[in-house]
Amino acid sequence: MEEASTRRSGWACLRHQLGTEADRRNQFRFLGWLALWMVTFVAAAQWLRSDTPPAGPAAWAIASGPMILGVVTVIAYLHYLRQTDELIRRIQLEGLAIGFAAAVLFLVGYPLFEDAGAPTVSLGDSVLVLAVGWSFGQLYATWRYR
Amino acid sequence: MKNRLRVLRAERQWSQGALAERLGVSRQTVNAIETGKYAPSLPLAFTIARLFGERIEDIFDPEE
Repeated sequence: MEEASTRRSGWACLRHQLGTEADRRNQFRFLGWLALWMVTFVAAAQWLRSDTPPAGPAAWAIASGPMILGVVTVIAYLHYLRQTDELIRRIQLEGLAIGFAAAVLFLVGYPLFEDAGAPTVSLGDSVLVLAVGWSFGQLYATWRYR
Repeated sequence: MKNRLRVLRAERQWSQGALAERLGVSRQTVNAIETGKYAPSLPLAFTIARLFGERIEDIFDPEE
């Protein structure tokens, strides 16, 4: 039976590479909350910026919705980090460090490029830089400990 | 850090995945330890030593 596990299919190998069964469950839970957060954020932003936006307490409630889901997503990520094994925790840490560094470099360094004539970007664009840096960092750390 | 994990695992004819399941870690972690790319924490080293019935210093060699 043990020998059979060395002849796993490509998908089975990939699934095993993603961590333990609990890791995969926690990853899917985190990604599910993340997707829900993003969908809710886009919907709330479109509604609040529409021609007939809600006003008063309703507007505050709609603005709070994505924030609550964001907190739940962060809790799901922390739960994943606490449950996973030590190497995957290190890979996540290196990914976050690279993402954070990329975002800080972008925030601090890009204004100089704007002064030099580069297009103006919003503060929100640094979130995109962080996300790309985080993803790249995870891939790099996974490759490093492959 | 050099170690005898691959040898000990091979003696028992366990795959990396099977050993990972016994240790409660990912297969990637077992592979990284075997190849010396990652040094396990003390609790994990104790778990490995206990699983194979050996002392930590008989499995892991910090000199190399």
